[in-house]
Amino acid sequence: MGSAYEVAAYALRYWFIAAVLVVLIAVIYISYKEYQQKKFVMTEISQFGGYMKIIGGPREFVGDRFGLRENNTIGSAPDCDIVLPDRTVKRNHAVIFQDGDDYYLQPGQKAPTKINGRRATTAHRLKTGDAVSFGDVEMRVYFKRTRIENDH
Amino acid sequence: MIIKRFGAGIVLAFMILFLLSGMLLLSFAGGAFNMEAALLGVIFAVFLIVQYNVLKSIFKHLERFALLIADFLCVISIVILYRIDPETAQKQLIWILIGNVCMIVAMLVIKRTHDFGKANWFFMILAVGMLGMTLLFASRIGGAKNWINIGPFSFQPSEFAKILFLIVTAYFLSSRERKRDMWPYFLFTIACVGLLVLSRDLGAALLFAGTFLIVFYVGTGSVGITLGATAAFAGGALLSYKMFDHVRTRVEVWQDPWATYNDKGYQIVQGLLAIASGGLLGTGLGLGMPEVIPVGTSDYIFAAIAEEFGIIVAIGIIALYLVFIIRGILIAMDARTKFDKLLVFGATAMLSLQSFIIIGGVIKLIPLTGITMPFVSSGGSSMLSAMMQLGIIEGVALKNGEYEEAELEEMGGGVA
Amino acid sequence: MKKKPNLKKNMRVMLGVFCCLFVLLGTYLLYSTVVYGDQWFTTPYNPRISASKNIENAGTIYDRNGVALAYTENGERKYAESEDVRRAVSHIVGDIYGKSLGAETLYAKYLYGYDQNVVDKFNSAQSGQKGGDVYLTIDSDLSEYIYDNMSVGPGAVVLMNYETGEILASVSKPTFDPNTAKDDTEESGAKFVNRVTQGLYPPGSTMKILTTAAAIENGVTDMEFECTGEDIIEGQRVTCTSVHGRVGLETAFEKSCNIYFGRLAAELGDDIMLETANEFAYNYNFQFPNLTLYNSQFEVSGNMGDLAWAGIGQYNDLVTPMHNMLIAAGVANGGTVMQPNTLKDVRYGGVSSYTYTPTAFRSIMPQDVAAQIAGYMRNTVESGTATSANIGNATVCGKTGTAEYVEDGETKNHSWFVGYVQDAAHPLAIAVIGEGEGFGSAYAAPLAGKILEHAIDMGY
Repeated sequence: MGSAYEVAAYALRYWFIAAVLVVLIAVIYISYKEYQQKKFVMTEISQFGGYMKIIGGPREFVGDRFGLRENNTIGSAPDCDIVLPDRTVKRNHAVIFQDGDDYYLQPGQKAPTKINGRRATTAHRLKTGDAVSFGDVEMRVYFKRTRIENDH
Repeated sequence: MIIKRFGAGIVLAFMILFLLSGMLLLSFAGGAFNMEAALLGVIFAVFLIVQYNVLKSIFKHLERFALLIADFLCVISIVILYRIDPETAQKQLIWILIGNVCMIVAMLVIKRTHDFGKANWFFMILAVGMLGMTLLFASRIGGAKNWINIGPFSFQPSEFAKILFLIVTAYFLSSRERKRDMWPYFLFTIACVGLLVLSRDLGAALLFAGTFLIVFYVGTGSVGITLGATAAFAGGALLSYKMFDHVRTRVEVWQDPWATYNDKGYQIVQGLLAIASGGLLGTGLGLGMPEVIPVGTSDYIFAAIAEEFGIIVAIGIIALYLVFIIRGILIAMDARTKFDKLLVFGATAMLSLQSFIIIGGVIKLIPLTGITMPFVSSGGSSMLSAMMQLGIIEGVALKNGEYEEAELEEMGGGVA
Repeated sequence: MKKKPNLKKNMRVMLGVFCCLFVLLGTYLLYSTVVYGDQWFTTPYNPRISASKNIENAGTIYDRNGVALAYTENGERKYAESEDVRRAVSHIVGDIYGKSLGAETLYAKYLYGYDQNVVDKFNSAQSGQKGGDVYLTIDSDLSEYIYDNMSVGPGAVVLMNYETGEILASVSKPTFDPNTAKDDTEESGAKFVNRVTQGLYPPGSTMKILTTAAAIENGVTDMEFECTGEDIIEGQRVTCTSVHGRVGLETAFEKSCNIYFGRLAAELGDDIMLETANEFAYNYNFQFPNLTLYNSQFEVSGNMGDLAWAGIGQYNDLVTPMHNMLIAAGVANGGTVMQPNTLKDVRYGGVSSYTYTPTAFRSIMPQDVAAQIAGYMRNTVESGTATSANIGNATVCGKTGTAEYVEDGETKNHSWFVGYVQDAAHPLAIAVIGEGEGFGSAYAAPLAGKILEHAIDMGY
């Protein structure tokens, strides 16, 4: 065993120690970040009374989902709760709000809104499975039947 | 809202680098370049990369960190084993590969089954049979009868009986409400522990008994009975201390190994010397003398690691085991059925108890018992059993993931 | 209605338990390695020390003046040229086979370059020698002189600077020759044992220093007694070597009157004697960093006869020559005993890495008590039992001891002397014991005087 090997092995000790510590810290850190994110998502989701899924319109939007809270502004303006950046969607297109146990859709002025194919101009009660469209974007709404349980 | 998975690539990267640098260094240990060592390192590295990525893409909800930690422990194992005895390292690599197959099989089985139902009765008979067979037919190695030789292969039936024990435990504790209905299970446990004690495999006996107590407590929450059972086992231990010479020797040697440093205390003393020789930073890979440590490739491998890699790495390994345990218990808490919960918890508890017992024995915190260090010790049966327990943990993790994804979908979220 | 078990909560409890267990594991590992690591590594049972691949890299052991006492040449370990020197320092230097506990074993981590820091590693790499050079505190010439002047029979001599704790010489007979140590099959017990630190003997009359200290500290200094050569104390017969007549504390010390001190010890009682003994570090587990010293022993039984004998260094009293010297050193140094040390300096590649700094061990008696006993010890040499220790170039203080023991049914005596030089320029403390050599005044005292005189001539 030459002295070159000895020096190399002696120096590499530090590297091995560092590698083990990096692995350990990385595992702990990433787990923690995942946990944090999950917690955030769960608390967010528990506030939703339901959600909307895009089923028609520009291809890049189809499949996207949005959770529904008590009050949701929908439009192409970036400060809306649900942002649909499409030409055919007005800046402040519509509002879906909760009143008691039901959700209602209130279209905005001159904002082409349809519910299940029929043009809507005033506040209309929504039920699970309804298809709503804002401009070219078509979405289906789902409402939760039961509250979420977090514990067994 | 969507839950995204963070990239754990950095862990895999450093693990691979550790492996390659270690094997590359070792390939120069004999003066001239040794192709075999480098080759072994490259093969294992490629396998790990493939394993992780393939499993990750097939199984969306894979518990990545438990797998990564287990892989890293295998990496450390290969490097130090090659340093001590290249042949052992080669055999170990083969066992790791077979072990991965076992792990995947276990994952798939657990994912699809509910609770094994009637099969549990068969498992109980099988387990008792295996342990009984060892008692009758095994060859005595190092004072304990736990090996059975079939042709060129030797295996430890107790390692496989462990898995059966976990399943039976989870079944009875989840399907029976009243404790009195669990009597077949109690009988089974006593039979297993008893057979192990008679075979002089005290380490495994301790492991079975400990796991029983822990899972029983978690499953039933009755502190009273658990303490009572603990007292019973402790009484049994005390009895065996008085009755059996070798138990007494173990305790004496634990208290003062230096008095009999030449014969009875030899193993413990050599272990402590190895640990002391390394100091905090280790002697350097290839610069210490881990080959003089008795059973240095399996039971006492921790001392070899502490000698050449140092105490900091040794403590790091202890920490990695702890993180593994925490992840296992989190999966258990998340499981949706009682059976799953107890099965995963049992597997985690058994692995953690095993690593605690052997590391504790090597550093002289508790008396030494002959069991292996999961994922690190050389030995096929040990590796396969540990991999299967990992498979159980992953299997339930997959189940959890699916349930979670379905629940999230319903609520408006999703999993990436 | 039975409560349904909350699995999650139970699991959380077990999680906590596991965390505690593993943290305990890690902490215990760290603790035991940091605290005991060195001790473990330097035990002779460590095969890493005698493995031949390490001999090539081993550093040299020098005495305090740079005389090489052990070095590596051509892959072999070599020792001093002169056999007398080799034997004189054999126990301090040790051997590489773990038969004795000398520098080769105790300082292995320096000699073989284990656990160095970066600076040391750099210095050694530069010089091309992995191990470090160890400089001992002993003087090999002085050791040779002592070896030549000791009797042939078993015995021990140890000489220390009582202000710094440096051991200037430590010779234990019988000796061994490190050149032949490997094949030495003679029962390794006798010659490989370092009697200075591992030999336990009854202190005999040297114990009277302790008894005196106990008496002064507890105000029992006025006792006077008529010594008729024989007395009975609680059923046990105590005798003196001659009839001393009327004695008080000072004269009893000077003449070493057994009966006086026996009665004094009985007067003080078990508790006080035991307390004083513990203060003097009897029954104490010595943990000096650079040397291993066996524990001395002092026991009491409740019987005043036993206590009387214990007070004059018999009964179950046992002391090592080194500990006995430390007591004398304590008297010399105002009651404060310095930590004995044999390691002076460690150098890697010629650059000093570790230099010993004098450290106090403990104060075994108040300063005024030390001063009073110092006076008694001066009298002992001037006109008492140790006049043979008088020398021409300095003032010697000391106490003789004649320790009785039984061997093969015969009653014999160890010859003891502990003392020091009362001169700030020559702060030397010494202990001499000759096994079976008879009266302290016959062998140990004159030898001690001779050694001290020579040491002073050498400049110590």
